[in-house]
Amino acid sequence: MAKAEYKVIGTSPARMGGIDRVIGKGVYGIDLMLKDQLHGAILRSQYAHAKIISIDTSEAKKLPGVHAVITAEDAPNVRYGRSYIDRHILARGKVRFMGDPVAAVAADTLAIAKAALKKIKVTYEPLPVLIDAEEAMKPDAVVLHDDMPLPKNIPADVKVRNVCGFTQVHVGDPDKAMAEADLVVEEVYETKMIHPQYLEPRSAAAQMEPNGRLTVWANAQAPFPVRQEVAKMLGMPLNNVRVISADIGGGFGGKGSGITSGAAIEPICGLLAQKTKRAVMIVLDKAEETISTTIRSGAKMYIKTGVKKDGTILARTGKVIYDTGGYSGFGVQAGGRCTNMLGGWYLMPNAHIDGYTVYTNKQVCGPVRGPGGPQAAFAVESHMDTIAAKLGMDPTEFRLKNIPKPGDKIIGVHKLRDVSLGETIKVAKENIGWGKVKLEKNQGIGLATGSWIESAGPGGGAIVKVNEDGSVTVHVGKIDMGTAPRFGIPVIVAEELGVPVEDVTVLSVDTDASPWDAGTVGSRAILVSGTASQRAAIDARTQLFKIAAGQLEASPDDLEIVDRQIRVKGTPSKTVALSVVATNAHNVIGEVIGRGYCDNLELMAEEKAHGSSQPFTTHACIVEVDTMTGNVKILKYVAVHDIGQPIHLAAVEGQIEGATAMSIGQALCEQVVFDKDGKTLNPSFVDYLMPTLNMMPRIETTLVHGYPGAGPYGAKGAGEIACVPPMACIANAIFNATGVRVTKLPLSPENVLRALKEAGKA
Amino acid sequence: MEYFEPKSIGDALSLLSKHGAEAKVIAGGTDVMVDIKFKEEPGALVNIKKIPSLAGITERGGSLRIGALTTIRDIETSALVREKLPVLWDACRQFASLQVRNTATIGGNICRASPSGESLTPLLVLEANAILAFSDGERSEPFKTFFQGPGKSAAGAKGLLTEVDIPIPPAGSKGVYLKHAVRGAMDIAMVGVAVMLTPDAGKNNAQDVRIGLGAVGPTPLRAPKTEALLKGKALTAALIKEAGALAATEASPITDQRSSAENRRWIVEALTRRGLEQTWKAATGKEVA
Repeated sequence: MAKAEYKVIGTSPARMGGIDRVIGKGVYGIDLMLKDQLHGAILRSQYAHAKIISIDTSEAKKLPGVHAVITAEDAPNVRYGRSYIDRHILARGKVRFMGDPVAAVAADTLAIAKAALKKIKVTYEPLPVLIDAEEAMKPDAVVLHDDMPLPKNIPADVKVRNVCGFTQVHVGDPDKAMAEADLVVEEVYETKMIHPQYLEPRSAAAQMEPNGRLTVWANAQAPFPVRQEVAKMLGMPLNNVRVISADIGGGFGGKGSGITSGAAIEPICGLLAQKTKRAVMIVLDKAEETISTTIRSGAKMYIKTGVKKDGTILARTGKVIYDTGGYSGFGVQAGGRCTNMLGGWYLMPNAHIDGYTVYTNKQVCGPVRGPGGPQAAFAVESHMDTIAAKLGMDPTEFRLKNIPKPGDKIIGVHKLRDVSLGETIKVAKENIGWGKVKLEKNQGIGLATGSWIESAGPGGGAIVKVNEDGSVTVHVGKIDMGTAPRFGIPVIVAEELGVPVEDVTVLSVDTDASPWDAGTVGSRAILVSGTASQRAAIDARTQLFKIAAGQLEASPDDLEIVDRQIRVKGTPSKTVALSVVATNAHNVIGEVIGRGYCDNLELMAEEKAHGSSQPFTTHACIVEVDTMTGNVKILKYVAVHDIGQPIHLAAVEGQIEGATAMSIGQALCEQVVFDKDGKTLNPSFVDYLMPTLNMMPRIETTLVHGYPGAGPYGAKGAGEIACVPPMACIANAIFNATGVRVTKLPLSPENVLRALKEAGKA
Repeated sequence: MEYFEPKSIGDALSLLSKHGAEAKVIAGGTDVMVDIKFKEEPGALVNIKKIPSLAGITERGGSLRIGALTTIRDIETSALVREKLPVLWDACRQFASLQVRNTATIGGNICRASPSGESLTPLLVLEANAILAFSDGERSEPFKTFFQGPGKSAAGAKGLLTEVDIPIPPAGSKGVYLKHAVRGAMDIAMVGVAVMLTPDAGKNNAQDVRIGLGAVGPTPLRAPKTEALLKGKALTAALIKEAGALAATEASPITDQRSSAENRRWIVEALTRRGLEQTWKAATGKEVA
């Protein structure tokens, strides 16, 4: 590791604003209190699928303290969506899941608003409810969106309904290769819907300004897409909408409104503000959140692999059924990603996989942490161990036999630059004690690998301003939620400008002032805003040197900044304070303002020329299974990651631990449970089981080095990838302990015990 | 919603008489406040926390008396309870979380009459009695008949549970409470099993075995057939296996989002076996043969 080259890159300075958050001083969306603020509340559908015959708001409007009651009739008749433009902000004509917004109220108090919701009379005509995506695809299923055509790329002979996304992977000649295989293994895996369950509730506030502009305060992960969506949904010019981001208490992709229209409360709040000409705030409570906002979809995955006796993989075929819920949301993208990843990240010369994203009457798919990846990896990496067992091979040897080399292609990636997969497997084996640790009765060891996408996607900019005291103010378009903006970016700017990290302030996003950005999603904060910030800091430094050069009687090229001092390289006595130069700038260019960009075309060209430098990981664990009750206890857990050069080490480790914990939750206990009518049976934290600390092992993280990524200093995104392997890792350890393969999540006591009973092992 | 803070049992009883089924008694509030938030507000909320001397653990005659306002945490940390009533102690330490145990009261847990209530099966196997105050006087009701259904008890709308009277089991008897939940903490039991075993003088046989089953019926249950099977016998692996299977048939579980009925029977079987093995070993010093 080339740590010595850097001053602060790769260290772990205190997070900007971190202490405020810990001691309760952080200002979140819900802390906002606007002048004469009204409280908004949303009436949600009580049916998972129904026609709206009529809505009578007259009684609600009469209630004292009520200022507005709105329905779809009060909003422009326009729809939103990312792939399929299929959703209104308030349901128009039909509701498609229990939780679909039907009407909204603004009132003096929340109690009055809630009382008013009860007085809105909606007459529904219930329609058949589709809970299971595979059922919903059938050619005789009721159609949920009459005016949404099937995807154009679906082959004509495929007879399906309610499909809004289709992805086909086809490589080589899978039928021929499958026929030549010594062993063919076929399995079906299934994951359930989980909710990201960030602790900070979704909120939005909006007010009309005297000049006719609308200001929206949002705790969304993508303020600029929210601005665009609010403007479109309310029929306002874009420049009349301003979105300000508050601190965010966790998002995990679930606060992706604007990108996929997550909770879509911002346009509703804006409409209430327009109607009342008052400030309005909407806060969702936990149960409302769980039934109405975006989720990580359940997927059913058919997977079949042909191998040679020596463990060489010849072919993979499969099918993905990806449940996007009542609207397309992010389901087309996530389902597509899941379909590609079902092909694995090993050498795969022949493959055919069809992926369907399917409408059902449930909550809508969002870009939840690694969209599509954790689901696919549960199938792929569980399947790898099943095959290894049938081959009589060690699961790690089977994997190592099939790993790609630099320059090879894998499904979905035309060329890999360098490949850390093998090293992560070897280090994980070492760290967990593979083949060495003594396992007691009912204990098992397991391992799973993962990968995640890197590079292509929207670009983004940064502005670095050097104040006259030498401190630095940074504008980026990505919001902070424990990722790069307030961890990595101050480190990058400090590195380039020779100032202490605490001299750098990264501002919250305000669409009136910040550079445009697609949002804090897709593990892209370090790649996009990190790259842009580095370049903006270098631009600022160049300007500073130009101003300082005269004073120091040296060429700008011979200058450097160390400890807030600009000095002539090799002549430490020739020095001028950064603050003096920044002050002098007032009489020259006014202020030193550095600009920088992350240019997506440049990234794509780089990737085309040299290949993708995507990250890889291996997780390994030891579990103990109580074969009488089905309880699974994780005794040891190691996570080995290549994320290129870490920028802020503690932030990277925190992301890895957090994402691992999130998937351990999905592995062991989390799921949204429905009844046959589409009602969520476990909307509160009493019944929606998140893992508690006593279930959580210490996650021992190790980073491998020497595989630079496309980000600044060779960094790779680290926010999502650790979500990919845990489910299969734990399932493989259970398989090792008991010989029983559990193919459905969660690996809850009942599901494990049932599998053991079915296998005659309990 | 009207709110009251009676200062005596008499005041509380007259409020309950006046408001009848509209009234809700609140003590620790760990269940009632959740209901107020998620279900509906009662017409009247009667907070009995200000009534003096309803909390405390005392030994009287051959019994431990635990006041209705005694917190679960106070029971969990009582040396007296741990020594004399290990099965109750074992349940209290597995109750929700520390924060909830600091607030929740035993009276609340009992009057909630949830089939999964952690303290209920131990009270059943301890053959304890509820001391109930009514406007026309006090009476002692065995827990065997106290629980009448989910949320329904012999206290009714107008009675107030003031104390729990628990006969101290014979020296040498051992008890365990085994809880099955997805999470070890902060979780409602899918199944709870309380087992109490008293050995004979020579520690050769089980003189008395009592088994309580939680969350597998409309009320917490005893398993009388299983108890009869074991009484007076030395516990062997084969006998324990038979007992587990029999206990599963004595449960009458339902399927809900936490567990299927079938799984609950499997767990009753597993935990009954485990509880018998543990209490036998603790009481006799012998492994199950």
